[in-house]
Amino acid sequence: MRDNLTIYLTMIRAAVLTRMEYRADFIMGIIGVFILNAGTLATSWVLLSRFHDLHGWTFWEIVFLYNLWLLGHGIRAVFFRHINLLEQFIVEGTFDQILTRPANALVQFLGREVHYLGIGDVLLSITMLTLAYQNLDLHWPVWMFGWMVVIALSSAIVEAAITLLLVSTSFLTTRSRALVNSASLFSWGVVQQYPVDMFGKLLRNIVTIFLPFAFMNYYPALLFLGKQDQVSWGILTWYAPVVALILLGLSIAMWNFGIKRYQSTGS
Amino acid sequence: MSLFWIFSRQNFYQQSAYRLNFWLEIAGIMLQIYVVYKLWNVLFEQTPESFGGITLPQMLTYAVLGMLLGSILSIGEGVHTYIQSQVRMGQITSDLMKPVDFIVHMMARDFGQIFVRLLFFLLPPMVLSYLMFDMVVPTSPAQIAAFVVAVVQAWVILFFCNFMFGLISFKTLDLMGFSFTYFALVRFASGQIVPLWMYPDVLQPILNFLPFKSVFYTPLAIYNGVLNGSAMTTALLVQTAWMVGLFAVARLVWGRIHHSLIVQGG
Repeated sequence: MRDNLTIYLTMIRAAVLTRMEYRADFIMGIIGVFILNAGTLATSWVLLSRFHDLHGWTFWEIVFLYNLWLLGHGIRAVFFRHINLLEQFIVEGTFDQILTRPANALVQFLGREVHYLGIGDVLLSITMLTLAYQNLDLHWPVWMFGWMVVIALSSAIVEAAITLLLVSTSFLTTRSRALVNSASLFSWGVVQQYPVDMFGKLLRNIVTIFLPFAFMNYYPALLFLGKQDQVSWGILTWYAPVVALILLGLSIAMWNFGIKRYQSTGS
Repeated sequence: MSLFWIFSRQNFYQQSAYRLNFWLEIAGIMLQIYVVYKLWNVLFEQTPESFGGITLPQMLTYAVLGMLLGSILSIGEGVHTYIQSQVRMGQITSDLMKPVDFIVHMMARDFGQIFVRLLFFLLPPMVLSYLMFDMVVPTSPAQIAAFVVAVVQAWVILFFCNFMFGLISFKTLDLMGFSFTYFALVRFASGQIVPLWMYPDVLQPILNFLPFKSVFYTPLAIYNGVLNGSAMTTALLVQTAWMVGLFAVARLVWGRIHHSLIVQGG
């Protein structure tokens, strides 16, 4: 365990140094991330300036929901964005390089890259969460700010673990991109910007049980926005860290299962 | 013209190769359609008076068809991403050496992709949507004809926008930062998700000034019957004007870039 951590940190340091070589790209990328998210929020703004609220959620509550998702997503993007690229690593033979080295393959794979664009997501989401906090006139007790940190980390883990679980299928099939893309639609197409209770039971069950992306923002937000008593499933607002740990265990098990059956493509 | 069909055939084989991918993509499209369907149902139930005389089936038709058209009129992927990857890999030379005009060649490629995506990813989910949801159909042959013309013109307009956007990569080798901005702008200003008449009045002059209104809003509003009579004719003519204008600018810009192009050995 200790060795694994040392290897991971050494690799991350190398990845950061590589990234620092391209500063102009960094700034353009961060600005791009800001504009991309502003565009999505602008659509919500247009809708809610006309309709006042969406299934009982006002504009700033939607902003809060969206940016809680973005915070977790941003943290996962900085460290684990390349999980999605496992298929490409396998097809191009890069993964075989990892296997020849005498260190844990998962640690090497996770430590291979960092992605600066996630920093833009994190900065933007913290700014927008602060704005939402002020505009909604919230008054949290101190412990809730600590809970916010726990939630941010667990939503990063939820997203990373679901993705790892799905890409591990490419050890068996070599193709997982379409599967990952369709599954992540439930994340950025559904839970990201809409309160999931508006979609009815089926879709809410899918994003709670099968692809539990709703634990990235919807359920935790119920507590932060004082909505946990308005719905019958308010208790779930406490379960995001538990879900994150379970998913982490499952995804590592799936990785180990897959890698045992892995046969190189030979390229 | 045969060039256009050659690319279609190639694409057809590529798409047929992975059957699982086909079903997963269809499932993804249906999910997106379901999301907008639910969204507008909820909003309509809350405040039907905010829709300004539009019926719920009309609104749903607009929203569902907006998602469907999104599978052929793509902002995220298209001629711009093709040019970018060719430039970065240094393979753009092989495109430039072909004995066909570059713009025509790129259009034929794009057409091939769109035609196949139309068969695979627009028509089947469209049939499914009509079976599942309460949506309107165009009432007269003239309306259907106008819709088809509007879609074709929308494709040409989006193609030239994407094409000129892609040309940036000849200067910068990369589109990363810019492509987020472009994606956000087109998505917001085209009315694919929210009909443009719902936007605040302050934004209307800007939306009218941009070509993106012609890409999604015009065909969608013709199909659900919001644009009709002389307003419809005007919208179609505006599209034609954008088409011609963008073509002229694209030719000019490409001529300049091509003239001063230096390709590094890749």
